[in-house]
Amino acid sequence: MPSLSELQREALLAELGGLRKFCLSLTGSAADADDLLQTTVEKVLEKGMPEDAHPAKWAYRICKNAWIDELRSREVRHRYPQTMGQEHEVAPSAEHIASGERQMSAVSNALDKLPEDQRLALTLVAVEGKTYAEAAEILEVPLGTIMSRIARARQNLMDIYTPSRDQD
Amino acid sequence: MKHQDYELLSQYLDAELPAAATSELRLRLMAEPELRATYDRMRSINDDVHEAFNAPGADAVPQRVAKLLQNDSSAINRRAGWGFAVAASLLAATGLLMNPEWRQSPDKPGDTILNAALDTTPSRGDGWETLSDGRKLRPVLSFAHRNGSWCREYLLLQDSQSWRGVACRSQGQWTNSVLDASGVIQGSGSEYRPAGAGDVDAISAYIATHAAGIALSRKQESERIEANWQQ
Repeated sequence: MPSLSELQREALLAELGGLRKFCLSLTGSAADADDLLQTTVEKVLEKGMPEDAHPAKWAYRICKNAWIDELRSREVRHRYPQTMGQEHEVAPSAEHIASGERQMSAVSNALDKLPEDQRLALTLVAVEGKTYAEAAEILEVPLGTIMSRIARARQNLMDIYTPSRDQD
Repeated sequence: MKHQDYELLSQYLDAELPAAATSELRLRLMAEPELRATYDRMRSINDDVHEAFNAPGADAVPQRVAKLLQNDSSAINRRAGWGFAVAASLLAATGLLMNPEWRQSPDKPGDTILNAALDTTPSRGDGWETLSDGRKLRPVLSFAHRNGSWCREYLLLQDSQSWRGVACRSQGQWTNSVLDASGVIQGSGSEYRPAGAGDVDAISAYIATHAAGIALSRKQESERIEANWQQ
């Protein structure tokens, strides 16, 4: 089975937190995010990684593909976030969880209504802080496509997103 | 509003708009209330999206996933990516066998003679430093460990036996972090080989994993010896 070099493995370990956020923004659910992250890591370990590949970008690309595969394999996505921090050593306060869950739920509901290509592009830039060039590389599309997708995603969100504070 | 304006606002929000276009857009934002309102709304939504998935715990990795990577013990033991040009010129062949006693006790403490020699003997590409007990030592490179300590790779020769090891210095003592004879090359003892030529050995793997950067230059190593390997 292909494997990773020590440097690739360490780079990937260092990137896991960011990847987990990416998974969370795609799935909108802590449990699903953990599953997607695990699937991503398993695929990276199974397929290996070219020596000249950038470990983080490679992993994001695998994660994106795994998510698209997942979407194709099921029509109904979990729409409501579950309690975060189930397996985690440091759990946020209950008040923070409640507030964070409401906001995440509102944002996730809106993101769910976006076309998947727009959602992926927006997530990489707005959540992960990737540059347009990095997002283009991860999603394997031209830079201009990224610009357009993000702008359209934001334009759509202005119509469909209602902040959780407005719902209280 | 045109879609082109949404693109401009979006690129401006992400600091991806070229400087000239940025200046132009800023003027428009001051002059066009509708454009300004749209931008403010777009930025507010962007903040919500960012905050929603950057809340505490969002980047918490399940232990079972981290363990998948930590348990991937089949990693390739290569020096690829590690700038060991210096090591390449210094690694020499020795042509000897392993010492069973050392194999049984690879972290054998109390070797004061070897310890003192590693403190003071510069790395070299050929030849040997004869220790007071008759053993011969050839330090081949020095490097900084990621934990901040100093480490030295060396060859050690005793009669017809030899070892390659990496010892790291802690509290004034050099302790073997890895000791191996399987990678020692049969040969005349004056041959050079490129770093990574015996790339599936414990020494290379250890250095590739734990070195903080490239090997010390001769000058840097000399300075460390003079400073008695103090940080």
